[in-house]
Amino acid sequence: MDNPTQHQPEYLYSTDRLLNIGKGNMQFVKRMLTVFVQQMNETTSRLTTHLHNPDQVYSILHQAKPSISEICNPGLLQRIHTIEKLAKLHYTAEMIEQVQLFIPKIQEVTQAISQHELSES
Amino acid sequence: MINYHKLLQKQITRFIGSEVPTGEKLLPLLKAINDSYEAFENDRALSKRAFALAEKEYLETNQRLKDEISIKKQSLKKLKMTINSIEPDSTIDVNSNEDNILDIVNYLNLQISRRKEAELALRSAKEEAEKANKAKTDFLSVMSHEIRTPLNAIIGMGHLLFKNNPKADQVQNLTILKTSADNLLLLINDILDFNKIEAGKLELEYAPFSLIQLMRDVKDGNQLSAADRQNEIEVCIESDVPEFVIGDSLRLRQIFTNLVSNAIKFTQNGKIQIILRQEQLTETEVTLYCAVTDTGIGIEPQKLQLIFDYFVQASNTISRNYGGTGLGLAITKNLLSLMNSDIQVISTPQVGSTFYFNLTLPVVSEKETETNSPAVMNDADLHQARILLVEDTLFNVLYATQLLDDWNTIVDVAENGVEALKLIKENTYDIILMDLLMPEMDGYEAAREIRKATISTPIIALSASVSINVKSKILDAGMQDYISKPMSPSELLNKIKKYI
Repeated sequence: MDNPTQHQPEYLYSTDRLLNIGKGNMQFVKRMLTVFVQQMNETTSRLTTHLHNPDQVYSILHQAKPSISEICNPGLLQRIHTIEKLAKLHYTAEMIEQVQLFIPKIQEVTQAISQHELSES
Repeated sequence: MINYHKLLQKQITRFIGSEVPTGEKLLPLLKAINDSYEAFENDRALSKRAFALAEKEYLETNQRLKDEISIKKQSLKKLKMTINSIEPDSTIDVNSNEDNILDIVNYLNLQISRRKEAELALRSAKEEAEKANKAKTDFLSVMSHEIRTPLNAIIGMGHLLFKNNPKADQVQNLTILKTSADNLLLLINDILDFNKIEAGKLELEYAPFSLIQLMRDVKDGNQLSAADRQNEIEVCIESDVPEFVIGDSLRLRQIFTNLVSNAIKFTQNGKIQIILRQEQLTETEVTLYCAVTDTGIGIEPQKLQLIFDYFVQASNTISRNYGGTGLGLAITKNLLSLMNSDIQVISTPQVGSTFYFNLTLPVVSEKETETNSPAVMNDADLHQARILLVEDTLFNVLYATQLLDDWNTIVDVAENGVEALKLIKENTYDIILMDLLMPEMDGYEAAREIRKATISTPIIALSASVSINVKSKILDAGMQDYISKPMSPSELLNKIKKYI
């Protein structure tokens, strides 16, 4: 599988863990990545809709966290922890700032996955 | 020949003569008289001894009494002196030889009554103070939250106005508005943190994070304010510092941000360094030397220990010239204390300051990655164990079923608590894996319902954050254990094996 980004020092995503879990089953990896991209599209859309509601933001990211930690750079997971904490404390302005940084990052990941892992060509 | 008592013998000689008295009636009389004389003699000897003993005892008792009286007098004198030193206006005269012990007892009784009244008053004052302190804390907390809401609106409106191509003079006003609002928000956040720390309600979280990313975030977050004062921020992380550790990244970020923003505030045209150095590394944890140094105005030696107290700054001039409330460093110290660390400072006026601390954090080991490898998991066989997976996120369902299928299990999936209850009533399972946050019926309620139905199948909670509160909620709901998501295959396998 073409995965040009995963071995760079600051990789966007990695399929290593999925390959391990799936024992190298590429169909499984592809299925998981497809589900991941769909889930993240829903996540970003819901985050945008509920941007000003800390409880909703917390709940949305809480749900997305396990998948992100399986695939993405740990830095992104760290950002989620930060947002979750800010949301829990109702530090809304700072939370919004962090969510606005998070959304393009995750979109960058899903675009890269779609382009490198899921395109038919 | 009878040996009469000496006195009787004398009297016989005197009245009868030297011849031996005879006669049937006289002899018994003389014998009785002789016995009386003998008895008298014995009694006299006994009395004499008794008198001698009594006299000795009398002398000893007398001496003891004298000693006791002397001690009593001394004690009374000391007591009087003490009373006079406590209350010079008291009516008790130290030099009086009068045995006014009743006055003293009365005086002491009065003092005891007064002491009791004072204790009651103190207790009542303490309770009042505690109530007032709680009221203050509650008030601060409520007010801070109440202020935050409109403040967020102000900040949001400020952002919008900035985007609407403001005129040059408006830009300046908007900048002032933004800066003031941001500062106010920081202050409110500090007050909220201060309240939480005071109330012992601040709980740390533990999750993996990248130290490098964290330091980068701290630097980026302070870059603009550093540039405003022509300062440079440098991050120096030694190469042997592990990148990923486990801890509360948000609070660590707060600590470093506090220290760096302070350093920027007191430095002009200088340099701020964030230093991370490995002090000790074991298989499970790393001890880091962390420091923030600056080339700023420094702190006078006598002020060094005061700066970590709440609402204290090195001088009033500082709060006038540099702003701030004096909460930041106190919060930093308390946060580090919660992390079992202690912040120190060395400083030279007009040269600069270094704030430093050692911090021990668990490291994210490579072992976890290894145990997740197919090789380790290949041999697992759960012998057709029946497992109910209650999970609403497709990604997590696929992930878990992939693992469970490999371990020779039969898996049913329910998307929420309601579906799970239905399946549990129709089937028998060896174990239930229960997500906590689900639509319709969450994991806690589902677990309670299962236990209400007297079904004792072991339930393992699946949670994306397992804080202390969540853990106790999980156990209270009747579940046996928990696994944090993302699931480590080895942890999942071990937990299932433990309960089936």
